[in-house]
Amino acid sequence: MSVKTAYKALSLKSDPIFKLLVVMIILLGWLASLGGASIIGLENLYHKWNLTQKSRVNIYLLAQTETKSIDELTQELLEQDYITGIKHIKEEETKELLEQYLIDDYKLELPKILELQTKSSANFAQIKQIVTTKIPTAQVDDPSEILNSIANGVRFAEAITLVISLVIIFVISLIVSLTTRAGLRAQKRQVEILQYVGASDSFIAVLAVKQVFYCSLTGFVGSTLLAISSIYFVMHQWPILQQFILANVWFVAVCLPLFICLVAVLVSMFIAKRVIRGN
Amino acid sequence: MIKLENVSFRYPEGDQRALDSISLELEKGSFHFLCGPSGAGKTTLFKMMYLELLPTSGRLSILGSNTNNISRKQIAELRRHMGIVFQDFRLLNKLTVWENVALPLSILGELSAQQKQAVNDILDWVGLKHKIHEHPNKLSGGEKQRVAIARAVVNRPKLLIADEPTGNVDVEMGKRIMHLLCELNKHGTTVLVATHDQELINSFNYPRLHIKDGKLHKETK
Repeated sequence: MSVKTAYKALSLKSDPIFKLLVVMIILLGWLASLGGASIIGLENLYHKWNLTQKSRVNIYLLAQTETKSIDELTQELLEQDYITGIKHIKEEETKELLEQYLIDDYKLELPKILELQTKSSANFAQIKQIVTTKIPTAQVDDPSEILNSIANGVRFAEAITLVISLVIIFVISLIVSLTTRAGLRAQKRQVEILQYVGASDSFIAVLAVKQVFYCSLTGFVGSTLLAISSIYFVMHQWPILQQFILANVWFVAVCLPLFICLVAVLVSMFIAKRVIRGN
Repeated sequence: MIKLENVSFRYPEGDQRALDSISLELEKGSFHFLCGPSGAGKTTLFKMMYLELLPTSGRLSILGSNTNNISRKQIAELRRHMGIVFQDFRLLNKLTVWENVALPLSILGELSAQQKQAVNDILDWVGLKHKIHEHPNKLSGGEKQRVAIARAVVNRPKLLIADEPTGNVDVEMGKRIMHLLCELNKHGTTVLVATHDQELINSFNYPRLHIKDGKLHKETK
């Protein structure tokens, strides 16, 4: 028998509105967790794809291009720090690559393809300049434009998710604020009695915040379990995505509901003090 | 113990002063009745004693603390040295009789064995030891009032203020409650009882403060 008596005196948890709070925290926490995890997963995918694209540049040469010119070009390109290797694609491989675009009885001679392995610091403009100076008819497959478009798309998706996360946090704050306010107003008499026996505003606020904390904690556990189950489901349904679900995805899936729990506690602390002062 | 110097109070929505230039001093260990008709200002004066209201003008000092510019934290601390008994008991039905009485101690932290014994002793003193596990909604008016008194005195307050403590009980129980308050006063607690029950006031030889239209008219014995 102790502070528990005071805690029992101001029991907000029995209020149906607090049960609703738990359900809302579970649902919104789950949404936020999945949203955050998805965006990190997308970032992982983009990063991997971006590295692959940035590390490979193809140069297409006409079939008649002289071997000597090709060797000179190769020589000059290899002098650049950011080019780590050059692969001369064999005719069979070229045929295999282009087969789907050609009719059955084609007579055209196949182009010659050079595949450059580059570092992430590759200077595409310089590569283009070297190639066109040496062999004016050559075509350089410059991925920088598509890389930029994809990067913009990914950043836009991330920005949208961030806005949605902020909206979710705002909604959670609003719900916590309303439930704390309504809960304390419904317990006005209990609050008054606690004040008459000498309980300070902070003491009563802590009693209320503790109860919001337990609701949020239940919400956190619920939403995290739901999010983890959902990610496992995705991994099982689409195994190809497993390579992008790294530790950072799990970390965000757990941290976002925890952050929501923290926001709920902070908001309830602020609101509880205000309501008790106004009592 | 309590000192009022030209204390006035006006409710924000009211035209008239609920209390009008009241000056009063209650000594430590004294027992006073505060009497007057309904609407005279008894409850307002009482609310001021337990610091629910603060004077709009004048100077009020409770338990040696000046209440001008007093903080809410200081009010809470002062109330820990006061016992307040209300006409409508203000007990918590969610708690048992024992828990209601232990409430003022429980806000200070874990109850020691000594404090638990104090709660049992007080309940024994008010004759409710056999009802400790009951909830207030199962008690009679007299029993509820005795629980309220037990709660008010469990932390051995320096000041006990009771607003119509016999208002909701029968005559016999009213006398029993008054005897409990007298006994408490003999142990050194300053007691102030508001009542309009003249018969009750006449059966005890304690000074009376008469309040009418917000003015303290006389102090008689």
